[in-house]
Amino acid sequence: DVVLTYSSWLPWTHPVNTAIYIPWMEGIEAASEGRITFKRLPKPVASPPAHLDAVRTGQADVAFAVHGYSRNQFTPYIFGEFPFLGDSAKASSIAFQRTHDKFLSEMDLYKGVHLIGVNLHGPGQVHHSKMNMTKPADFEGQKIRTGGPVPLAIVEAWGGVSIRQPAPKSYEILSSGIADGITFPFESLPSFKITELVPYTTTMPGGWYNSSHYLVMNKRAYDGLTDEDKAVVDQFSGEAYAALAGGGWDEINAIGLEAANAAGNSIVEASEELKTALSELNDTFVADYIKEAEGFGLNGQEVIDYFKAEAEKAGSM
Amino acid sequence: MIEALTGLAVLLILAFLRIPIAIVMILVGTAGMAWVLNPEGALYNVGQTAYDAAINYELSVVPLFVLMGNLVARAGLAGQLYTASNAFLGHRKGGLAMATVVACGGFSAICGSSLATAATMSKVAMPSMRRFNYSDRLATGSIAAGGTLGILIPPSVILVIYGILTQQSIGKLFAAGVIPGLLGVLLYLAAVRFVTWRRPEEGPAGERTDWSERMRALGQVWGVILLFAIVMGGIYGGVFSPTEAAGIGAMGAFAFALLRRALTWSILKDILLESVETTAMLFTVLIGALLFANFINYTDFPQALLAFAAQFADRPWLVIMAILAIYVLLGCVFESLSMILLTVPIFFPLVRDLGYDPIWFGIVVVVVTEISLITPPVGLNVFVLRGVLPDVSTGTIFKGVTPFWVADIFRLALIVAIPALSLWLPSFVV
Amino acid sequence: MDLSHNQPVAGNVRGLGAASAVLSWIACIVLFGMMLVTFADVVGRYVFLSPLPAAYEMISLMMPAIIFCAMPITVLREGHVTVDLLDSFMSRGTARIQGVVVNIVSACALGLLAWRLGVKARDDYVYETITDELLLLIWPVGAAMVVLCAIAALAALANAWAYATNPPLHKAS
Ligand code: NA
Ligand code: NA
Repeated sequence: DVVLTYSSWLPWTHPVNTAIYIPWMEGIEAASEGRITFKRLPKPVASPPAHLDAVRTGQADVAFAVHGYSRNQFTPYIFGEFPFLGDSAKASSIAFQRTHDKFLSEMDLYKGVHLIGVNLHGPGQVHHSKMNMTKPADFEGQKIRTGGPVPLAIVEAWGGVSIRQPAPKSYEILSSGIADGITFPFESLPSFKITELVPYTTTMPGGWYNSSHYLVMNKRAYDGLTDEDKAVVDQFSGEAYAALAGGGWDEINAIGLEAANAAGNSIVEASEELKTALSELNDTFVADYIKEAEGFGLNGQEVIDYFKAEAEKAGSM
Repeated sequence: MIEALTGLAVLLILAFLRIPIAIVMILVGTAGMAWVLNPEGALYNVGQTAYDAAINYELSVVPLFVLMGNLVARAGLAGQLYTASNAFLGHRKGGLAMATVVACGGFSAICGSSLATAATMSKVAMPSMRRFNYSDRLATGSIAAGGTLGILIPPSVILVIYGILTQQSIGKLFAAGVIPGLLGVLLYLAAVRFVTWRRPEEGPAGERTDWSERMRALGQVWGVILLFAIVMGGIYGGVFSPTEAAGIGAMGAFAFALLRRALTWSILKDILLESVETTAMLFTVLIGALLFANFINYTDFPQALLAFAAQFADRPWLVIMAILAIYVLLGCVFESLSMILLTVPIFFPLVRDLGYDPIWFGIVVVVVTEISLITPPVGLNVFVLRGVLPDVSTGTIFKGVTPFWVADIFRLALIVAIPALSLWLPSFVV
Repeated sequence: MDLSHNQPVAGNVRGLGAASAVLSWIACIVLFGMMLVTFADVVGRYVFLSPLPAAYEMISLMMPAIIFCAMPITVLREGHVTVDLLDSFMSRGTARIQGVVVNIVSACALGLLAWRLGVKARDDYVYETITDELLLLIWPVGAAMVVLCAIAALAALANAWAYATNPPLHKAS
């Protein structure tokens, strides 16, 4: 029998763990009839960005991480942070996995680890303490806590001030007024206890931005499994993983939205002016991506088009 | 279970053989991980842990609060605090020792470290207590004990580290430390009272100061009040985060030192040098403690402990009592930072699962850490005084500290029994 | 916190004393700079509505400079916290042997850190790890940490050598 150590840089009680990764582990434990069990380490073995290394070097057997943490290594995935990727994390995650399978799986980007699957966290939105955003100029002088380069680029392009603080500090910086607003998927409002602090959400159809994640397993641990056990893990990999993770995100984003509604927050869809302005910014993101993807021998436009088409398909299933 | 206990035993043995605690924790932590996990993963974890501990924005509060403490120590603020409290208390029996305690409390409001508080106050308070024939025991005891308040009354390096370890709001932790800190001042005053009641010769009365002189002396402490107001007001007013507050506080202390013409190039160099050396030392301890905690993380010990404590879910105070007993024992041997770093990751989940307030537990942990600073054989505040006053023996200081130690135990009991003492003020912090 | 201003044990070992003094000055300058950066960041945020660009990252990267540049001098001064419970029972000869052993053990631990930080820096070089905001390659920072940590390990060895060849003067109290 095999015991796999799992290291999580989010607390075990975090919705991402309870809705996605714990069910994923329990699924494997059940399907393997107890031959595979997971040891959930009480505390993460390293900082969040170091989790890929931790799995590669055997500090933990399994962990999830964010592509954006290893930007140079995962450049081809960076379009997974763009605006307008879709309102359903499940559909977009499945499309993201298929895009990986078609264009990126042969590129050996996950050196030394076994990839279980990739997913997106669903639409990121703009939450503010005092107002709904109606036009780009509303961002002027606003101090917005951002994570990742896309929200940062949006805030700075429109004259806002991007605040760089770790996500767990969100409550502190919003309650004290160090930041006026924040960019997050809905899930994070209740999980960081900030639903009441940012009563104004401006939603963007398809998301202001997104974030792509992946689940990996130590290569030696995977290779050491019996064929039967490998088959069990494989059964919870690829599109099956993407559907589980994306579906989980949809679920917890819905809970976050519900919490915001229950708190009486003002949730308003972005104006046409904002959509147009963001779409213009998005064109520059895409252009940059196409240029960067060339370095990897990829046709970036083709990658994005394929993703969009698959997201459409998966969404209508 | 066996692995963790073996590791702890080896850790203690090596520490007693006088190998620096940081070094012991690095080696035992690594060996332990190699044993429980696998050698390759263990070795990679060493590099990663050292790297993560060093390249760390949040931990920048540590060197900056240390720098702030060392700057205010030289800015002459401590002397004014002492003059003012002496003007009010000095004429009483044991008055100079009382003034020392009060001045320590005041200095703690602008200095985040107990060692710096004790070191600074000893330079200010010791000469006049000597002049009035105070016994070395009472004089050094009041300084060593008063100095411990540095990590409870905000700002506090130790509270910041607790906040980072447990993801609790540093603003709330700072607010929570205020009342227990003031309680500490009151109980230390009572301890001085007790000593001079039993043996009046230990603390003769000093000179009486008239009211106009008292007011004048009080007017001189505006610097301390302003600096405290800037740092705390900035945090609670939402001007800057507690992390940034350390930098702002250091800058404020620097400005003060400049205004008071207390800085020369060579003094500034000394202050910075002292601060970076302390920082390097603290981070070596931090890296060691993290490695040891990572080793424990790979063992079954945390789960076993949780399962064990779960049996007492209906009598959770038993678990708290056990934890306190362990802390007071560990406090004999460990210095403040390694004690917090080693124990909080193990005890915190336990205490939280039993339904106790994490902010309250933070204050409890800091108070037991304060106690450890004056508990023999390794009481860092006592060692600091030894360094400043080479003619007083360690034994004398430890004897002098005893009544204050008793006051501390009483205070600990109060804080444990009445959580509102810690939790009332933070309830006003959003 | 002048806990431990013992006189340098091995400060006179060929250039090691001078090197650690220079490094500790660098640490001092960086610490002072970190204070200014934090201040400028906060002031910039309110007065100019623009915080210092990448202050967060600058501070993160200044931290290892302070810690590791100051490490050799703390080792030379034997500034680390120890349990000296058994000291009074020790003869001069025993204390000397202990000084040698403790410093060799310390050198091993610091050497271990240097080695593993080196492996980490090599991985960061191979995987071209970059920072979040300024998109800088991170491996040179790791490499600097390796060199500084190795100097600290050498300092511990020099201490051991000093104990082995001289009576421990600073223990005379
Ligand atoms: Na303090
Ligand atoms: Na102690």
